[in-house]
Amino acid sequence: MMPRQGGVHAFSDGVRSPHGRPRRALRDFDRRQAPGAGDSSSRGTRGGRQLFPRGRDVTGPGWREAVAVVVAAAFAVIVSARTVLRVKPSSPGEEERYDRALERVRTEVPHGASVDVLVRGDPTDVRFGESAATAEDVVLWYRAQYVLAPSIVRPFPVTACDAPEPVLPGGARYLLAGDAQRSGTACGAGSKVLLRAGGLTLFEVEAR
Amino acid sequence: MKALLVLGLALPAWCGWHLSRWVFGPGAQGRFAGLGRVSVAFLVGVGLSSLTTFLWLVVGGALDPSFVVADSLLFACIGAGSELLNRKGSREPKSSVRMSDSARSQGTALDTLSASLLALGFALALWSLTDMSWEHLHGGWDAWAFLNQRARFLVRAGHGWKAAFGPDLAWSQVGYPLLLPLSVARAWTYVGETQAVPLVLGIAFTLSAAGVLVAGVATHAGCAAGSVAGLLLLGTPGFIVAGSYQYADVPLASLLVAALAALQSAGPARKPATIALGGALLGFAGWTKNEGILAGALAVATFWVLVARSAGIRAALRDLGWLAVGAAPSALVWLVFHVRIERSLMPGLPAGYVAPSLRDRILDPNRWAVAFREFSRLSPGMHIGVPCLAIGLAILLGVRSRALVVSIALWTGVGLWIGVAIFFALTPWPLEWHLRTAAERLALQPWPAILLGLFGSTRVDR
Repeated sequence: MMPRQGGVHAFSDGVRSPHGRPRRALRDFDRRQAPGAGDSSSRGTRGGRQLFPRGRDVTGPGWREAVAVVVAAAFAVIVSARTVLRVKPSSPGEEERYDRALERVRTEVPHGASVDVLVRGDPTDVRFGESAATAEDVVLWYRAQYVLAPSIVRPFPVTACDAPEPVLPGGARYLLAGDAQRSGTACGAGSKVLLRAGGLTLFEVEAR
Repeated sequence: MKALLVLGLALPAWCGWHLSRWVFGPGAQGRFAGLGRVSVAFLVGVGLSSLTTFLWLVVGGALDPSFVVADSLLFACIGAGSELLNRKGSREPKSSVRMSDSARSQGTALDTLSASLLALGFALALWSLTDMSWEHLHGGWDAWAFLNQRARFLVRAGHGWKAAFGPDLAWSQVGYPLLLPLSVARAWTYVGETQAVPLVLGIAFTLSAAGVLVAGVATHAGCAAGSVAGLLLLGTPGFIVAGSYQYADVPLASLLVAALAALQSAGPARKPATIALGGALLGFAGWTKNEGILAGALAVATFWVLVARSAGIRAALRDLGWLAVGAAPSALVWLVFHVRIERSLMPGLPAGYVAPSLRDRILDPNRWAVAFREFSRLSPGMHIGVPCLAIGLAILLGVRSRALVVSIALWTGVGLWIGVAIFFALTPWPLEWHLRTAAERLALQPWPAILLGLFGSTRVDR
């Protein structure tokens, strides 16, 4: 029989019983086995079969472990059931439609063509989601970077929302137009987020 | 396609399998050692392959079919070589943690109950993960906006992959280390671009964290304690959500808990190979997210203090050397990345935003109170009392204060939790915004390590 060599307690002071346990742990163990602490050999029997064999006396009462495992399992089952049974969206959201439109741009529009991604708000100026609408717009801009990669979508500030005249920065394949002056001439509710390529509007959503 | 994906993941994992024997090898106690070994093999495989993929790119290669040939040949050779060495070896290396033959030979009813309920927990977690992942094929915000976006650049841009780190994309955390984007990009090179790859990786990282945790606890405290720890982790709602969202915090947590399990397995003999493997896993954690560097530093410091206390300073210095040997490849790659490709560690503050000075942030007591209170509130499963349940179950299982005091996993986990809370208190970004958008994810990073420390310190059940 090989002696135990510690393990997680490898960094204790090295004072060990002949069985490898720290002496203090052994004392604790002894207290648990003291008269009045309960006879573990009589615990856990079911119809004559020993559920927790007497050999387990070496380490203490097995019912505690059984209870702990059952409680933890019940907890995991409840949480998983809540996750699986949650209410799920039944139809594709705007984000998915936007993705599809961007994907069409990526696969169908020739490289070098200009594409307008018109987003209300200046994405370079918004980081903390001051308003929900602005934050959503910025997400659209980020999403364009993700879907159109490795093309770089550059921010292009304009002063009005309706039909800006884009000036293509050198080498840009796709162009993002935003509104740098949303605090002054900002587009209000009812303005639109558009994705246009080659005169075709691929995605359009009313800004809230 | 599936066969290629399996090949792409299996070859590095085969190499990892040979290394994982140093943590949960044939001498390890408990019926969950195999589960732990598979998990460590996956984690080591992903880490190793991300390093070689990065080196391939840095020396001028692109992620094209020639990469697939070179990569598969490399890992096939390493795996076959390790296999031959294993077979030639006269004896299998033995883990320092052993149990008696008689105890190993008999499985009790309690062990069977534990294993059955744990299997149920894994099945339900897999169901939840798949179900949620299906709704977020591209992952959550960090996954698609940063990690998968970078993976797309690495694959789609060919030799122009460095465009992923240009100033136009500075908003996208370009200073994040590349273990995850490289792993996704590497698999895409094998099978073509499909959202199944990051989805499968996200699920595998989540389950491997639980696998390592279960095996790590079971090795020292028995099957029941291992099952309880694993079930609690799999039942932590935020952990499953973050895993299905493909967030980097879950892989970081997995690598950290695997590293700590390895360092605990090193035992009093403090086997150099096991310590070096622990160092390698810590290195991979730092190569996953920059918080991994903090976690690694805390783990190394704790390990050093505990070894110095029990075996002397000279032995501690020797072990530190083995840790450094293991972590060196990842550290070197991290340095190359930050010196040659992307210097920033964090995105710059937006124009027009003036952050409070560091002095003001340090001296503002309200800021500290808010940071710690909110970070506590957003900690894993706090809203449904998971930490209280964990403590209660650990007490029920007979947790020993003396073992807690010398638990490297607990000290590292708690230290990381405090370190991240301090990071929030000192953040230059608006505190409430930063807490709201990041605290819940970041608080997951030390959670498996804390569970390993807590339940690994319960009494041995045999």
